[in-house]
Amino acid sequence: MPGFNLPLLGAAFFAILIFILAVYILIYQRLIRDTEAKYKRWDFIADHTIRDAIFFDESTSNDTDALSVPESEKLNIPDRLKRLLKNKKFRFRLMKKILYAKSDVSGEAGENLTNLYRLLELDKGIDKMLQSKSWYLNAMAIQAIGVLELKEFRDHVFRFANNKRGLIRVESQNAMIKFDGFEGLRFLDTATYPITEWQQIKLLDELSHLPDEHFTGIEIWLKSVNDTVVIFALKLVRTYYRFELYDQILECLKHKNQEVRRQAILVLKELPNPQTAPILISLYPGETGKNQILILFVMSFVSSDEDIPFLMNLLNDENNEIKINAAKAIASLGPYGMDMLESHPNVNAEPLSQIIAQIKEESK
Amino acid sequence: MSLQDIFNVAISSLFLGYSLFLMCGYIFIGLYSIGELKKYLRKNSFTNYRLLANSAEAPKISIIAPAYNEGANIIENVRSLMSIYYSNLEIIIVNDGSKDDSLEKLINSYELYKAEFFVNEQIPTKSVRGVYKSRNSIYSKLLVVDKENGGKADALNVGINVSRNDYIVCIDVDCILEQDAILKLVKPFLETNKFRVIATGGVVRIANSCEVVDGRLVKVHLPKQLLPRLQTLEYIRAFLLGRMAWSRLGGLMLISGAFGAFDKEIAIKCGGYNHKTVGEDMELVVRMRRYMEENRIPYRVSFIPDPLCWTEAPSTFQILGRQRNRWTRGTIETLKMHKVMFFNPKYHLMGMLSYPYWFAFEFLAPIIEFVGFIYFNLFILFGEVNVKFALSLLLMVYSFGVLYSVFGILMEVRTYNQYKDRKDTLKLLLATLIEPLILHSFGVWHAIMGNIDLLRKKSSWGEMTRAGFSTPKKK
Amino acid sequence: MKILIAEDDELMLKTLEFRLKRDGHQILLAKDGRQALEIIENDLPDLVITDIMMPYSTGLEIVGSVKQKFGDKIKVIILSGMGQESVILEAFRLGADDYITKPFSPNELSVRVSRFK
Repeated sequence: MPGFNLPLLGAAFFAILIFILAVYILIYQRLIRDTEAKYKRWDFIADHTIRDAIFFDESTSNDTDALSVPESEKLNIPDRLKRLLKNKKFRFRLMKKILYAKSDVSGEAGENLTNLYRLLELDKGIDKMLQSKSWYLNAMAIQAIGVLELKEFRDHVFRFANNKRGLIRVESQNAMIKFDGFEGLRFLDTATYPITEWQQIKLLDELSHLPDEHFTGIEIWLKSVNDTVVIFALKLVRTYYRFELYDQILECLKHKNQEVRRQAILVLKELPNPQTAPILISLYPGETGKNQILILFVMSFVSSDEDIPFLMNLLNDENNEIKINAAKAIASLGPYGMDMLESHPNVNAEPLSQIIAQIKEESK
Repeated sequence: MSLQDIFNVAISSLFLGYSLFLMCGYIFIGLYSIGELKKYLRKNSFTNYRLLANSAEAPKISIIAPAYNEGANIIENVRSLMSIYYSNLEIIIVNDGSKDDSLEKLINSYELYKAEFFVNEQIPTKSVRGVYKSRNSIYSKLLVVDKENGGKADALNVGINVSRNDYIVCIDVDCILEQDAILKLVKPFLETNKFRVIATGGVVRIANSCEVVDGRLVKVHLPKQLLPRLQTLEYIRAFLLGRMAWSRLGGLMLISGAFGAFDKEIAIKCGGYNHKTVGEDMELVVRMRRYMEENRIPYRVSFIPDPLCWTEAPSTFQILGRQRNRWTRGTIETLKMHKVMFFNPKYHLMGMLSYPYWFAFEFLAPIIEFVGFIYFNLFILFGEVNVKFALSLLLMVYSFGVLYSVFGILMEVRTYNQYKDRKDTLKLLLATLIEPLILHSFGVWHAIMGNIDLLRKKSSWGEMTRAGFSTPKKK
Repeated sequence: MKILIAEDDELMLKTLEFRLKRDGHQILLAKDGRQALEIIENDLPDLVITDIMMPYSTGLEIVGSVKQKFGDKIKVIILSGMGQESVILEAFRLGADDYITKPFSPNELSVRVSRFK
């Protein structure tokens, strides 16, 4: 009967595959073991090279400009290293190590690492990596250009700032900030893809290493059609205290996206002036549950005695989360607030009694 | 051809067809996971996770670890949790009415006092006896909650109620975390604006026979005992191939109860963990997904293939049997609670693929296997069946099973290569040959028992006693 | 001065060791938090330079326990990525004597260390 041999045939086929795969696994693992031993030696050499480069200036600071010194005297490259540099895998590994080290040291030591990178002619590979079809290599190249500040490739990086591949986009945006500082944020003018929260964290980190300056552009980004750009702009307002943009922040409080409104509310936390609390109170009824709680949280930084009736009223709300946050906001007003809180008719009943007890203990 | 023959052929073809169907499913999963793994690893090499640990904009997280009678190791376990560095972090240990001295030990070691604390009971739970904080500022991130005993789901719900942060990470208190585990688990929540990521799951690996010092994994070894070793194979297959492929498809239904992160707002809206099922970890994910589908909010359940969490696997048949029995009941209960989704296009991928897959591969497969086994045995006994065909079919299914395992090992070696020792790899390869005979058939048997228990409405917990980490240095 | 450097990145550890040795300090090394605490107990360094993220114990834990036990006898410098305000505040609250963010200049570190002589 046809089909009857099928299972047996299948079994034989699978058995052959099992055998091939098993042999492959064993050979492959053997190769890994060998390369790992090799990598260990490589890493040792690489680490030494990098360390020597970091401290290069001090050991030979004969007040000659490092660049004017003949190649051979600049930094001693051992023959062993020269031979290894012909190996593509080693170059790749060394390049990653230099990039990694560069993220930990700054100043002269950092510049020395860039010089080392050039001296070893690792920058010669960048062009090829940029042209590669693999997004992975593109991103690697852009990362190297940015981290090591290889100025000659600066213009290439800009092409990628709105690339459809997230990782390439991100690396390119980071590189622009490395080159141009705050001015590098200009990519936000035209960013059509979302700036993810992760990237926002990364950008804020990059910016935190720069000396403060009064940069422009936020007013444009606050009006962006890309909601994530607006959110990021609001974070910049908060981080760099750019409160001259007050009117625009107020506009963002009416934005249709609740996340944008959320960020705008958070900005007000850093803006304790007499108008802030009334604005928040006027927003409160129309906001989502999540944002209402945030408003109450911000109120505990910006409210005044006049807001107590509004907050006291919220102690009767069904939602305990609102009760907690309203109580905290009242307590933030000091002894007078505390007195008002304890004058509430339900003060001796759960849950208010426990909420107040907690607030009292935590404020100690 | 007699009627009997026709019947026999029909039955044989049915089994053959079903086997082929399952095999195709597995081949698809195996191949589909490759690309996703590769992409993840490459992307990973660009990520500086430590950025997240320091950032003020990083999401606020509460780690929730329920503990029941863990007195023997609780101090060390909490100590290793406290060594996690993440600036927006809170660690909540929930003592689920332990009968031992867990709480006293914690109070003494961490200088705890009973604090005034209002627990907002957004999910109804057993009552909370007290919330403890530390007097020592080094432990300012620690909260210990003491509550009436109510089971794991109830303890986790208390943790959710106590938590003051936006995301919760639920873990088993005795599992061993890798250095960047929390950072890796949290990152997916920040990576997309198009979808709301509602949960992320991590890989769980087996820690038996591994060297552990002060709650940290020092050296990985293949388990020396047979059962944990076979389970190692099972875990590699399930996590590296299965979940990876499902996460690429966007249909992941299960996040291990030992290590997963959730969006707290959604978890609360869904009512938290369900204490009526023994499979609370799977049920929560399914319920959260169902909630998102019904409210038409675009969402994702994400998965991290890195080995992040190491846990001890049962090493005796008795405990393993109880575990498998519980898993079966959990699966069936979950499927039953959400049967409305079965082939329901309203639930998209979830209804059309994930649910039916679980139905066919996890619920039906052991039953069909068992029935098939009985059927062939009976008919061989009465000489009514073509023995050659039956055996060759069995052989094919067996060899396919082995092949799938070997493929799993290949992927493991090419990605994380945790078992570097040549002997370990050989042992693991050998294990593929006996795993279908021992662990698989044992699993099928206990799945059947689980079915029967469920029919009898028995929903006891199946206590899992742990043997503790036996490290070589203790010799 | 006897200085303990606690840092889990090998290259960084070696780099710091190299730099501070040239300044004439005696250097002790620890690759993780547990080792660091042991060395502090046994060798009583004058200064501890510690990373924040390390296996076993975070740098913040190290500051806390050093200051509780030894007070001002042992100085502590925290070395860490991105200087987020709340982390810096917590470090100082626990008693840290200085805080340096990565990327940092080795020369600057050398000067800061010499202030504690």
